Amino acid sequence: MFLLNENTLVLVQGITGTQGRFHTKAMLDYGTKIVAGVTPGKGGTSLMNIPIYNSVKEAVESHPEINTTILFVPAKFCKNAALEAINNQIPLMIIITEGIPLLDSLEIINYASEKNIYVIGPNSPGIISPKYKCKVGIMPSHFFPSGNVGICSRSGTLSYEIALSVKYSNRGISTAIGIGGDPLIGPTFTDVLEKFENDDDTELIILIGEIGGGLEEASAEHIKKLSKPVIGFIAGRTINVKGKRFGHAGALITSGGEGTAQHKIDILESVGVKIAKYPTEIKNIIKRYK
Amino acid sequence: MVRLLEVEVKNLLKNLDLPIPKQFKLEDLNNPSIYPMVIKSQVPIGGRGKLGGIKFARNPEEARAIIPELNSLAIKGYLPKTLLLEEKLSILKEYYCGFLINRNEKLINFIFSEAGGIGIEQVSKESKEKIIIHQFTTFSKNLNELSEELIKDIDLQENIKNQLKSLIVNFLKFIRSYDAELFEINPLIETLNHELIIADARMNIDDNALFRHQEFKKNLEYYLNPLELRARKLNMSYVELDGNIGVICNGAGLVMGTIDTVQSYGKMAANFLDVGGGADAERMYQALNIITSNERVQVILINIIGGITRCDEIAKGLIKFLNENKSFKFSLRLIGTNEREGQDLLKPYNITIHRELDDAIQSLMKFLE
Repeated sequence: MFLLNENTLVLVQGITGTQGRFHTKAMLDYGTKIVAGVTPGKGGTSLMNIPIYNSVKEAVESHPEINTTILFVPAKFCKNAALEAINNQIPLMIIITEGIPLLDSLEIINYASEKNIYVIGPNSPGIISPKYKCKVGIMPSHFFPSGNVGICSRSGTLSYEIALSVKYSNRGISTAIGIGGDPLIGPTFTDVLEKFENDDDTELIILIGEIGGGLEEASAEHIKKLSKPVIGFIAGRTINVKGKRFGHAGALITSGGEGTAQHKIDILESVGVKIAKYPTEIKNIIKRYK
Repeated sequence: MVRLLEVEVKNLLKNLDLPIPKQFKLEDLNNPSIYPMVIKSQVPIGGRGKLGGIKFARNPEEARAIIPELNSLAIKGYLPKTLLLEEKLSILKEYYCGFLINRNEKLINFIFSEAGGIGIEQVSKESKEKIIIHQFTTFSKNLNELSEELIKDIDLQENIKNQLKSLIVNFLKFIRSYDAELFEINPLIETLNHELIIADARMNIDDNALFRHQEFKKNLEYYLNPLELRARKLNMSYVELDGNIGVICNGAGLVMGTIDTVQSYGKMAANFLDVGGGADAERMYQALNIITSNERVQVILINIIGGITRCDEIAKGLIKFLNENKSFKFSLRLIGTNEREGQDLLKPYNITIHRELDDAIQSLMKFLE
């Protein structure tokens, strides 16, 4: 099992916002067990029969079984919401919110690690484990049939594209996790690859990276030690513009030339990762593996 | 990131009573006591010293010759926003002092060197022993203690070390209050009188924190062209590229992956445009307007995989655009959240909705033949 299972019981922070409401329904429809929601000022009301509380503390007092929280809280308020969840010892936190200031993320991530809380994101599409009918995230679940391929990605929508490629090659997903498109995120590729290695449901791993930063390069040493094969795609191979940010705050080739796709591809290939040139090429590559 | 001009950073530091060189105004030029003086081009980019952006004047005549010269000198494509006129310092030593967010290790690097100045990049590559790096994760502890910890391995005379310690306390406050993702003093000068003075300063403010620093939003205009700026104001990300296929997707990774796929067909994208997560009809409509403002764009490729974005909103934005621009050739791939609702909206317009990206690109190729 990989972070989520049939015992995952979820709190939704920011449940009454447009996104929170929409994706709470989608998660419920999929089968995710959502226990409670938090929106300050809306305590005592409910949404789709889910009780809403003013604070994480109140929610956890009424539902001590909560073991996972997902945040749809606007960037301005997200740090406080995250710190509140950490202080209430919810062991797994998934931050969907995009655009959180770096110093806020730094504080969230380091405080969480001090308190032994696992934080995914920020700017993550979440996690889905089809075998357990559990999705704590925003991905369109019908792209993710159950199977034995694990996906870890910096990008949300690109991981949906690649999940479709997996589906069209008659394979399925064990767990797909979006680590987030921000420069500062909780677990990195290295941490997540380790989890896939130890996950009995996963036989083959797909790593989806992109230009900017050094997370893909940093994972190479670890990939050498894995017994499971890794397929990769690095987005932005044909983009060579320096100093411009490509959507994700993390996707930036510096003027020194760090973070280019080619650099990442060379390093990953040198440790045996089979790299696709474009996303749908995964369909052809995956056929070579059982 | 938003890079501030040197003069903007220094004015912020001056408000905190931190030691910066004396600044002069153009009307001071005839005053002999301001010479020798340094004149610095204010461009939002590094390395200007080596490119002729910093000059020294010994008298009013020299200053009057240098000023128009610098004003018309573009550095890496940037003309100066203004010039900074400062006293020329008497230098005993040049130090480097910087703070930088380390993405991989999720902490902040404090970097100090006794070999500061324009050669610092060389030093960092060739004589690593001259660079001291300390790392920290939080500003929440006592900043005096943190400062002491950061400089404990630096070997300096007591007087200088004390000045440095108090400067660093202020720098830490400064970084926190301005959301700096990079703050660099190079050089930090020790004068012949053994005083530390901030000779040059650089600061990049985190884009995501601009809501806390509205006064620096205008600085985006230094780097972004008008279309990029227009996209930014609508919370979208747009970058111009060299090809002729306009591209719109949702999600940065998907845009890049789509551009890579277009290239595998031997064609080039004209732009990167990410409509952003959860784009509504209006944003989609504006996105189409932005990419078609680029004259090179001949055809449009729309690749949307709805997650947090809903296909019906995308369809509404596209319809609004098509009502005004009937002749524009495009190809649409639209799947994911609310895809049926999106298909229903588009049905009366007789638009082909592709389920796969390759099909969408192949149909686009027909327009280009």
